Amino acid sequence: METTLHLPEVLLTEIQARLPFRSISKFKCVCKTWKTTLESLYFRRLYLSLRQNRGSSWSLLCGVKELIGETWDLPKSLASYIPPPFLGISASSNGLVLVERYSDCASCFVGNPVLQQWVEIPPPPHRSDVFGLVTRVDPECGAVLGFKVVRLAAVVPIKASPGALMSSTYLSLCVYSSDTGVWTSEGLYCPRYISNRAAMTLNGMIYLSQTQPGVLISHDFYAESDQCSLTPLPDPFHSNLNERAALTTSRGFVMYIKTLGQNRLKVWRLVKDSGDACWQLLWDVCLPFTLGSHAPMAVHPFDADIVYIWSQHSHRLVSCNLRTQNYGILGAGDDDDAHQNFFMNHSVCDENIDEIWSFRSSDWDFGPSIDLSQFVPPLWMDSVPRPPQVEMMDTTSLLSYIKRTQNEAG
Amino acid sequence: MSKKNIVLKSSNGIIFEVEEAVALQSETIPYMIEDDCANDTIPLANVTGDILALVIEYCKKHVVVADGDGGGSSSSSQEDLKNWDAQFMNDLDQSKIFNLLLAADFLNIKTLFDLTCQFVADTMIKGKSVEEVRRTLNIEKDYTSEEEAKARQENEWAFK
Repeated sequence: METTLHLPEVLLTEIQARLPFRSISKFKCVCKTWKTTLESLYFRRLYLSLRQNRGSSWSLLCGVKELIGETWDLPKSLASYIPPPFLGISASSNGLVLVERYSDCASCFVGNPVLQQWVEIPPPPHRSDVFGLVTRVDPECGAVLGFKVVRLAAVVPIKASPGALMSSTYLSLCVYSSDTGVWTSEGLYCPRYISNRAAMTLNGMIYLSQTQPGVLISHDFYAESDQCSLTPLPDPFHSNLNERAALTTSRGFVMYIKTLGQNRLKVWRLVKDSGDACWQLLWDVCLPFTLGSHAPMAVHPFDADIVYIWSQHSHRLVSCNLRTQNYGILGAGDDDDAHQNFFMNHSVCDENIDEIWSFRSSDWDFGPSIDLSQFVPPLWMDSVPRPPQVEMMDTTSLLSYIKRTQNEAG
Repeated sequence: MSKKNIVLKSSNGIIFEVEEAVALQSETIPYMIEDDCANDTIPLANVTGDILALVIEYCKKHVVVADGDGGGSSSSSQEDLKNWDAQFMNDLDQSKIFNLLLAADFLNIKTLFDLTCQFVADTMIKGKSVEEVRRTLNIEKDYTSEEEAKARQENEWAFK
């Protein structure tokens, strides 16, 4: 004897806004009114305000390999949305990924693997390697408006005078913009010598880091400048203190995590203070256990109070919630409700993290690790920005397209 | 120290006397007191007795104990409350849930409103088929077959 009570529309909207994003997309098929509501700006804002303090799916990657992550309402991990023959996620930004078939592949694809939308990127004008994928985001609603594929063609060290030490670097880049649909060659000056090319991206920015003294190098690919900016790292490295540091991101901020001595952990966030970037110390704590041989991995992408540390000594992942002082070993099989979305590829973690840190016999020489990258789709996913004259493909047509072009070529 | 009581009257005339702290979880009731809606009894014309009883049961469970040693709930009691909430909602049928949602909205009890909205989203909509949702919420399909196929195609990823 179910009653057919009609809820007022405003209450129905409140209920709809508490659904996972995947259900919201699905239930646009219920009726026209639902579709109009679910696609409205009001609804988007309500959903985002309610979702702000809850989790969403993300993955932490090492190269193209997935280490850890959370699935939430998705049926599988984010990287498993990348179909073969693609190698995996070569670069990502705001839910967009760049995929290639071979690391030197002539053409690549940018898309959203969850939404299954892909666009083909033509071959770059010069031989080059993927440097990063950057995105332009609407400051009001967070929608991804455009993207740029940045490839590194050459790194040219520059000496101030003959016989002097390398003091700066010229980067020769190929940049493809979704706004124009064409590749352009760009030059970028960095007032430091760059020895470590590992980079990470956040929105329109690419970040690199160098040591002695430690510095964060950044460039905004949506700004009119051909100069990199430098921000000194917050704490100088001391070779004798068993220090290890990593750069990562969380909730739209660059984060810097550092472990010192037996059990000390410090976490900073990069903030803009009247135009200048500066580091804000969020945590400086002594952990209630000894770290042993370990590697700081990342900060939780949606909760800046959770830091992941890999124990190389016990081959375990330690999750440190610095707010609740909850410390736990993840992936041990006895996970509680709070970690029910969590997954870990244990052997991938083991191999890759050891590899990253094994050659860093003197860590202060190499500076913070920037080798792990996060794939964090935004809470609200928009269509992939479509460059002019480029067709959008779903994953099935992408795969048949690749097969067809392969047959034609062979 | 004597505690002040508030008298609430449901739409079908049932009287409930509750402690002020219990009633004040509603952000609507204080206005009714200030407006001097009634001297001693506050009439709630939109809420029936059985639903008001549920609202009061919820508010009694969630009343913050201000006296005692400084207040503030430990994480274990937070966990207990979460379990209690889940059980409380599970025991209700659909009509009670919808009426409880309407009451939580009218009385402006934020946590109860969130709880019922989330419960409806999780149990009646999420994970259901499009057809099931139409049936549960008594929604008429106004799409033509072509329009529905198009909407389905645009959101194909969400069906996999």
